[in-house]
Amino acid sequence: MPALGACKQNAPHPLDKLAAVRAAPYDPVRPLYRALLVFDIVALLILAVGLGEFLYFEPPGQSTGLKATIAGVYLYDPTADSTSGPDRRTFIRSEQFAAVVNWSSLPQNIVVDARWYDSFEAVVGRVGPGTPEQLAGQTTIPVGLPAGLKYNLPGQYVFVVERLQGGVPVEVLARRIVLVERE
Amino acid sequence: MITYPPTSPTPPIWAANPRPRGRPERYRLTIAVAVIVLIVLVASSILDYVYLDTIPSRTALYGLLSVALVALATIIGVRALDRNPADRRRHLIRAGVLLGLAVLLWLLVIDVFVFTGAAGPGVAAISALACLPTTAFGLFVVRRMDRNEKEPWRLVLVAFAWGAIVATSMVIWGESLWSAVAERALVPGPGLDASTAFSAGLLEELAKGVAVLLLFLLMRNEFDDVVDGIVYGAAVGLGFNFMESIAYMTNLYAIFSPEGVGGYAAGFQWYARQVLGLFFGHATYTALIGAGIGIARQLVSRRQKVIAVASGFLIAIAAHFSWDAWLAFFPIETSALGLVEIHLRTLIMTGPFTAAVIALLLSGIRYEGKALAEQFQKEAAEGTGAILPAEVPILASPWRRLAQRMHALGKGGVRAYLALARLQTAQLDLAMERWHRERKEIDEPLEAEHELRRRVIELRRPSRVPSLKPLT
Repeated sequence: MPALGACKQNAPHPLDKLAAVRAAPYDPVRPLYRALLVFDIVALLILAVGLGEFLYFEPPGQSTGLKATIAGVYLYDPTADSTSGPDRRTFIRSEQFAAVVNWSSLPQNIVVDARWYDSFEAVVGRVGPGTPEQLAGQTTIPVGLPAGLKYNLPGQYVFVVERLQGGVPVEVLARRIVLVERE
Repeated sequence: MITYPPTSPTPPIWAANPRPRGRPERYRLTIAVAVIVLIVLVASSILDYVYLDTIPSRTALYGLLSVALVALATIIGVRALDRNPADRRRHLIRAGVLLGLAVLLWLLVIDVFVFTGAAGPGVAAISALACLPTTAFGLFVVRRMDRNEKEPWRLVLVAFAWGAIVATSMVIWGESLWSAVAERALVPGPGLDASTAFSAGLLEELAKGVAVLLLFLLMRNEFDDVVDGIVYGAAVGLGFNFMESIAYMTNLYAIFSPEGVGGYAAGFQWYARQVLGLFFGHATYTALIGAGIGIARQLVSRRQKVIAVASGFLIAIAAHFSWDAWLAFFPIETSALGLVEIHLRTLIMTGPFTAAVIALLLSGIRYEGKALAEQFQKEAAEGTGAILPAEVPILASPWRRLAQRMHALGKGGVRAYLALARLQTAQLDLAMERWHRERKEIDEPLEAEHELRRRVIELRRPSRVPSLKPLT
C-alpha cells in the first residue's frame, strides 16, 4: 500500500484542474432564448387555464340523450303576448319573434332553461332556470330588443334549451338558429 | 492590411450578400411551406364555397386570382433582388404591376362581395382611408425600431401585404368551419367563447406567422436577428389589423346605421383597433412569432432553433387566445367611466405581452449594437480603409450617426446628407456581414464581404460624399 504522502505527491494540483477547464464562450443569444422559454411557460399556463375553462363549461360525458321539443319560431306580438304565422327561419329587423317550447317532453327531475343569443352572443331572451313542470306556463320565449335600440340587430340568432347542473349549463337539449336579415 | 481580389468584370452586386453558390437547403423548406399555403388557400376557398356558402367564402373564391397574382409578383420580386441592376429594374416593374393588379382586384372583390354588401362602397372606402394614416404611422414606427440596420421598405411592405391579404384569406375557411361546427355542438357561453378563441389564436397566428417564417427562410440576408424578426412580425400584424379594422368598421356601421349611430359604432371600432390596439393587438402577437424566429436565426443547434420557432408561435397563440377568451370578463360600462375602462382593459390584457416584445427588442438592439461596435473596431484595426478608427464611436451610436448626417446636411445640403447616409448604411452592412461570418451564421461566399468593403471605399470618395468629415 503506497504511503499517503506519495499519493498526495502524485495527485494533480487542484489549480491544474481548474486551468484545464475551459469556460464556454458567452453567447448573448442565450439569455434571449432563455427568456423565450420563460414566456413559453406562461403561454402554456394560459392555454392550460383556457382548456380548463372549456372543460368546466363543456364537461365531457354529460350527454343524457334527452331532447327538448321546439315547436317553432314565429312572429311575436308583445302586446298580446302571442305568436302568429308559420314556423320561420329568417326575419327582418323590424319583426319581433319568439320560440315556442314544449316542456312536457322532458323529465321532471332536471333543471333547464331556454335562452336566445344574438349575433354578439349576448343573451336577449330567457326563461328559467327551473324544472320543466315549473316552466310549463312559459312556453313562448320572445327575443327582446337590446336597450336603446329600435330594431333587432341583424345576424344569426341561436335559441337553446339547456340542462343545468350546479347552476351551469352543461348540455343543449334543443337548438334552433334563425337569421335576422340586414334589410 | 488585407488584400482582396480586384473587382470582377461582371456588374457589381450591391446587395448585402451576393448570390451564394448553389441553393441553400432552406430553399426546399421554403418551397414546401409555399406549396402548403397555396393548397390551404385553394382548398379553403373551394370547401368554404361548397359547404358553407358564406359571403366571405365567395370572396375567397373569387379572390384566388388575386392571391395567385400576389404569389407571382412575390416570386418575381424576390428573383429581382439577386439580379444585376438592369434585370432587377425589369423584374421589379413586372412584380410591381402584378402586385398592383392583385391589390386592385382584391379590393374590388372585397368591395363588391363584403363591404358593399354590408355598408356600401362609400363606407368601405372611408373606412379604408381612415385606417391608412394610422397604419402607415404604425409601419413607420415599427421600421424605425431597428436603430442599427433598418429593414428595406420593400420587405416590410411585403410582410404588411401578406398580413392584409394572404393571411386574412387563409383563415376564412378554417374559422368559418370551426364556428359552424362549434355553434351546433357546444353550449353557448364561456365554453363556446373559449373554443372560438382557440380557433382565432391558432389559425390567425399560424396564417400570419407563415409570412415571417418565409422571410426567414428566403431573405436570410435581410433577417439578421431578434430585432428584424420583431419588425417583420409587427408589420404582418399591422397588415392583418388593417384589413380586420375595415371589416369591423363597415360591418358595425351596417348594423347600427338604422339606429342612427352607425358612424359612432364605426368610429369606436377605428379608435379601438387603429389607435388603442394598433401596437397592442395583432402587431404584438405576430411580433412574438418574429422574436422566436429571430432568436432561432442565431442559435447553433437545430433542436434549439425548432424550439425557438415553436415557442414564438405558442406565445403568440396564447396571447391572442387570452384576449379573445377573457375579454368578456372585463365588461365596459356605457358611462364616461367606460372610456377609462377600455384603456385599462387593453393595458392589463395585452400590455404584458407588448412589454415582453419591448423587452426582447431592447435586449436585441443592445446586443446587436455591441456586436456591431466590436466589428467596427476590428475592421478599423485591420486598416482596410472601409472604417476609420475615428469613425468607430460615431458608427456605434445611432444618435451620433444622425448628428453626423445632420452636420453633413448643414454643410452640404440634402445631397451630402444622402451620400453620408448611404456610406453609413454600407458600413453597417459590412459590420453585419462580419458579425454573421464570425458567428458562422452565413452561407454566402467571402467575396460578399469583399464586395461590401469595396462598396464602402467607393462611397467614401470625396466626389460621392462632399462634406464627409468625421465628428469626434
